[in-house]
Amino acid sequence: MMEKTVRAEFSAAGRSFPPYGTGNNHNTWYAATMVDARGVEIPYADRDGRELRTVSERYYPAPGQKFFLKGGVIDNPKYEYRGPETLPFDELIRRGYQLPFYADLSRMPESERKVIWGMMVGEEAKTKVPVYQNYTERGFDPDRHMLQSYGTGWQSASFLEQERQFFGAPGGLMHDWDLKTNIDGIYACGDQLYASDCAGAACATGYYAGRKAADYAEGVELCQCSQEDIRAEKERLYAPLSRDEKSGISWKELNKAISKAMQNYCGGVKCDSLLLEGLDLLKKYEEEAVPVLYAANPHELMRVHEVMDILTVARLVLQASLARKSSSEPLCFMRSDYPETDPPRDRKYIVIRQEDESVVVRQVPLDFFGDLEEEYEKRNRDYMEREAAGNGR
Amino acid sequence: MEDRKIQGMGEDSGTEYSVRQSPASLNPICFDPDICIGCNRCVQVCQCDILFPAERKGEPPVVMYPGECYYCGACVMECPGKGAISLRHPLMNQAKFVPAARPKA
Repeated sequence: MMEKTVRAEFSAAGRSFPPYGTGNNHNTWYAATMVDARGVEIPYADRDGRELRTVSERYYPAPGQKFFLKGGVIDNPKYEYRGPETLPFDELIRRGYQLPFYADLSRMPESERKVIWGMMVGEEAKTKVPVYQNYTERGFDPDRHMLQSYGTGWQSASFLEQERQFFGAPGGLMHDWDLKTNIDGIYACGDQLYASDCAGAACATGYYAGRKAADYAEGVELCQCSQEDIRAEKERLYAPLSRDEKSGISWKELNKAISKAMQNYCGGVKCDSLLLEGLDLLKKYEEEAVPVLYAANPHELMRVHEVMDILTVARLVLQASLARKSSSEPLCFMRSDYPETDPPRDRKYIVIRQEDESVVVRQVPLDFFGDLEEEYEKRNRDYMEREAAGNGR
Repeated sequence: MEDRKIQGMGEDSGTEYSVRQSPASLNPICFDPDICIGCNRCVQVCQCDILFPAERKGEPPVVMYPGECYYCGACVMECPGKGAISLRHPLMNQAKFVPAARPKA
């Protein structure tokens, strides 16, 4: 595991506005016309900085570019794939553009407006009801209204630096060429991985990990279950159901405490002493709060176990943050005690794992996976042959 | 609301649990009792497990844990009765929209 948090960009809960329910020009809203508080249109530019004059141009690659990609690691796309985008925020401020920004579909050709609002927002499962239907009921009409943006970009709220989330490129679970973790038989995919983001990567890596896991399962024998292990595990899992509510702690109380601890000790600016304080506090929660967590019913039991997982992950994040003794721009990682940014000595994966009760840190070269094409073909020859023959599973 | 007693399922069927509506400062989901037929499809599909069947058959489900709603709208999409369920974002999460600054192109 490597530290993976970034300043929050996107959420569906808490004080966030509904995802894709604020003025933005990404994914389902690409490439919406954006305007500033004065109603002045925000220019789009291609990867070479050439400002585009028409809406149509936003959907074409730059001269000499075969294609472009949107989504995925959208904050920092490679030049090779970078598509048209509104000018960077700093440049807009320099030019006198003023917040708040808005998405103004009314300025777009009718067909594009209908595609974004009617088809994209209107037909995607997560926006159909919460955004399309709900906003329509509230009176939003894309022919006549523009929708406000929050913060400085496409985020679903004006998030604070200490409001962190797992999102985008930095960090993630370490894995081998089969997307297998260091626990035999456990595979990882999607946003858990380093530099993996959004639906395309989730689908591709999920399919790959699933295929490899199936191959693995075919080659191993199921071991005999120990009835004693089953009994002990059931006892552990169900224990919160038999605890006393009056003297215990609810999952909500621990959830909020962990959230506050992480904001205090593992926010936008980190240092050893803060991270150690955070670990100390979480250890106290582990020792004092976890044993008295109670659940009145299976629903609450589910939440209890979610929060216990959150506590484990929070400790992993703190430990992984401690392990990197420098700051990094692409990793969205800032250390006040190690302000040197992206020094060559730390251009590597810094990975932690647990062995017994201690944390083991190791360093892995960035190119540990070798040549992508060559190594992929070496490890997937059977699959490629099946696919070529039209007999893919 | 008083505690409600529910039975466990499967090998847990002999166990009785208590469920209590958890107060929240918001009201994410409302049922129209004139349209809802109490089929409980929304209960089954809710990914956050916040809905419970009514105690009386045919009545709208109970929003037992309103503070845990994810606002995905799955309950509305699954509902066979148009208008039986309405979803409302909390006031502080209602994004602002204003008349467009210029006539459309």
